[in-house]
Amino acid sequence: MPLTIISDNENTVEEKSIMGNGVEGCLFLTYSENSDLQTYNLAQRTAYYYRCTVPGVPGSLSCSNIAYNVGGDLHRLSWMAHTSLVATYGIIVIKPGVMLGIKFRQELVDKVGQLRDKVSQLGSGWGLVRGDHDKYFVINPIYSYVYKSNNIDEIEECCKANNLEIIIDNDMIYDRSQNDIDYAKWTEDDFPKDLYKDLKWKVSPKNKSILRNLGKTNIVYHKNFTDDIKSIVKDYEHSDTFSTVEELKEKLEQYPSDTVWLIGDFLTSMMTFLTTPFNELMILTARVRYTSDSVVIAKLYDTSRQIHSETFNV
Amino acid sequence: MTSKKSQIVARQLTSTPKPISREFNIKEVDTLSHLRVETLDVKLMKELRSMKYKVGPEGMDIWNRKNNYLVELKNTKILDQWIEVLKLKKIILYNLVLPQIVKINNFKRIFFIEEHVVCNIEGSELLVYQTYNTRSDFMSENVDVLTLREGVVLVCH
Repeated sequence: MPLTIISDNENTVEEKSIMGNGVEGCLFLTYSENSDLQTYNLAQRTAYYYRCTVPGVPGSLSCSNIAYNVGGDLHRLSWMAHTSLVATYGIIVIKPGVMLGIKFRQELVDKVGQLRDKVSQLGSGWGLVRGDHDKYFVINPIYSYVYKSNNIDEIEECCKANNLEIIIDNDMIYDRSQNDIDYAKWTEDDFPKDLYKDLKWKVSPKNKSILRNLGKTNIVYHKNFTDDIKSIVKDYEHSDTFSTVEELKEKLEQYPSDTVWLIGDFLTSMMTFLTTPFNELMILTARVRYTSDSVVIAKLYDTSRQIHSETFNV
Repeated sequence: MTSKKSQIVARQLTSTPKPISREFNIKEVDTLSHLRVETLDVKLMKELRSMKYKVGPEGMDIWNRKNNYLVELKNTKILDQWIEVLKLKKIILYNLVLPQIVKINNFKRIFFIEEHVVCNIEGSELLVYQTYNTRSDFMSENVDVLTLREGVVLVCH
């Protein structure tokens, strides 16, 4: 699929089509015209940054779609977004490696939402919202045929030729120290301890009742769950804990089957995401998915249901 | 004794070289060079490519008989000859991508400014993807109606 869409939730076709009617009706697209492997990996990693940092609102339909693509044409991708995610009113095109904060993203989505209702001074719609750089910008999927170039200055010319308004937004700044995903060499010490290491995680009541009746021999869980599942652990013959990626890898070797894995948000947490190489995380995700005769309770990077072990998303 | 082959070579070496063409007329460069180039001057194509992002949905008028050239172009020598030979009335530059659609009637010639072109032949829903050689390929007036969907082309009416 040229436009690989990854969403925070698994949605039906109907839900996807009305997404744009919610508060957040934008598509975040990490995109580059260069299609080399390195760019592809970075585009995918950046897309998952947005996937990991979407604030989850249970039961809400309003969530932004996230997609990545390298080597495609912007007008073609825009057309695909317009025809498959029909209520999307803005595509936020982001270069691989550019990360935008949650708050800023929300503000940007709100701004684009307001543009939808604004009557343009030119008598037609808006075509481009940009800052003074090409690291990220917003295009209007209704006018997919306008974006005949992938270069922002040429896109501007295309918009002028089609009488579309170009909006310069001075809030759309790019600061490498703040917005480059690889600017800082992240370590665990960069993250507040009370946010990840010392936090008490809780299993949802639904999953708690499932945990009691699974009939597996072993249970392996993240240390942060210790207090919450004390009473449940007694039902299993063996129990074990982990708190780092390395420890999780060791435990996966140690318990190849017949195990309940209670991982929670550990793999998709910002600390794990930024301190572990992305390909390693992908391999680990695949490994967790394919543990034989086991049950995994985790938020994972891939939400595909085509797996042979039972998996529950937290 | 010399072989036949060496005699031929010797004769070729000693004979006086002929002029390139006694009938060659220097004026031909100015009047008939469109026949040698087949399509358009490469430099003109480059100029047209550089302005393709400025082309709107209705196309960009390049030339018409009343107002002459409507955009600034430097290398128009070959195009001028086509204007005379084909007795053109107007020339429009199109830059289209799907889902855009432009139906072209009564054209005398279409020159391809970029290689990739997508079109429908009249009466068919199917998209025809073509890769043309911009130096040698062109579309002449024997096709009645053409539905253009994608490509950068110069349409001469």
